[in-house]
Amino acid sequence: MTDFVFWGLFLACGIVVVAYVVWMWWEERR
Amino acid sequence: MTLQMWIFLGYFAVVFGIGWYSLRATRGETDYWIAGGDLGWFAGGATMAATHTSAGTFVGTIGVMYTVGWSFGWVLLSIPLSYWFMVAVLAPRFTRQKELTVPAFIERRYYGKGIRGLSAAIILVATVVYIQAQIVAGGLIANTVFGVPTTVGMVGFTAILLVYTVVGGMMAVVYTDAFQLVVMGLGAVFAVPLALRQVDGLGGLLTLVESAQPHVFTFQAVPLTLLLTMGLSFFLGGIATPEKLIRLYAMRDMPTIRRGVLFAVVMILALNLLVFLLALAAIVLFPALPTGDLAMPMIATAVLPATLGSIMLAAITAAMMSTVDSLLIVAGSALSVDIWQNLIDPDVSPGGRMWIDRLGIFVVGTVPVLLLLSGVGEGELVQFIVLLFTALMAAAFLFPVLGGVLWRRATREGAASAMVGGLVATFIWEAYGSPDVEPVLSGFLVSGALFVTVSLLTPPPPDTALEPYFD
Repeated sequence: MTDFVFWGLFLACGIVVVAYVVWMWWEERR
Repeated sequence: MTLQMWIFLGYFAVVFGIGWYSLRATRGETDYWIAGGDLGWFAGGATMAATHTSAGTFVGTIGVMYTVGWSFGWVLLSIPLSYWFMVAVLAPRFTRQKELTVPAFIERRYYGKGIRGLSAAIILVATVVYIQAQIVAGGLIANTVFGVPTTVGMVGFTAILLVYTVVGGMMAVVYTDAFQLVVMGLGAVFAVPLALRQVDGLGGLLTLVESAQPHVFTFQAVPLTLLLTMGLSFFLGGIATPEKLIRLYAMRDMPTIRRGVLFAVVMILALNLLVFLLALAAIVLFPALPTGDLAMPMIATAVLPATLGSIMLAAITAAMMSTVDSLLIVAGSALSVDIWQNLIDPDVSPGGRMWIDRLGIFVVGTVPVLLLLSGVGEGELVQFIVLLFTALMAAAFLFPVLGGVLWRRATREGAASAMVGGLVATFIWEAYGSPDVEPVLSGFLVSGALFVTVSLLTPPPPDTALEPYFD
């Protein structure tokens, strides 16, 4: 449980940032 | 003079230097209120991140996490999502027509000077209260570093803030914010490894926290409804606050805004995660603090060596000042541009305008400290009022701003009733509603319902009001 609650937050933040970068790239290619 | 004092004096000298440079670079009202509207992604993103991060992050957030555990940290995810929504949905239309203030947008979209005055009044009251609470924090820091009474510290901090903000306007705010962000980053980056060393590294920290306080790494410490509604209110509340919207006007164009917000989000997430780690360290090192708000001061004084401790205090000061200066700009422009020049004295000369601009910030900045000195709004109550007023501002502006650029049928009457209704509903929930649900949610619901219903019941807006924002 500790691993999920603790490291999961870092992973989730990373995923959101990467998703934003991909969106930004896609938005500017259109 | 101690080393601590030298560090602080050097820090203030840099801030004043930037204020002086900004005065020379400011040539007109556009420069003064939106930094020329031509900021690049680095300056724009840095000022967003620095404004977002207040003394609350370094004292309040760490305190909450110390008390309720890591599950609170997950609420953090609502912040990047909120910024993303703002950039993807709101910004492209909102920035088509640049204004100097958010109430000016309200007047153009909602075709009325009265509603512009109403929104300016809401901004004024909410920011004065917010500034008050941050200045109290400043007084406490001055007391720790210089040994002066807290009242002297409060007056001193206000004077410093006012000098560079009145003189340099938004230019000074943007460039000092970038510097303040560096100071905050340094504070957090130095503090974490030192705190971790005292608890046998990260692995040791996790084991120690788990054995001492097993609830910390579970989702049971806080009611799940409260976590979810907190996340939702951070998300909704973050989309359309005036100090963020004005930064959209200050940046050059949409690609710059997208990059700037990416930079801001990365910095906000990194700063918060570092502060969260400090909260865990405090749980192990100081297990029995009477209040979580003492966690950060304890780390700054008992864990860090004197030099780093004062950098940490400078970081908290930086967080405080970079938020207050941005609110001063928003509130000062509400007073001098939206209320004085717009409603009371429209024929003021261009030379007189700049004078009124500066006077507005001066008045808005001195009122909170005068109120504090006369004994209004001290102690616990302030924190409560701050949360309430941030909620009020969010509830008042979300629908009129977002709905204004997305929905052609939104009318002046709809927007005005959404603002007032959002305020009243938030107040009522705060007083009588369940404490497990954030009060601002009721504000959003009522505000949204009134916005839609009243808009549909009143005559549609004229084409001139829609033309800047719709194809």
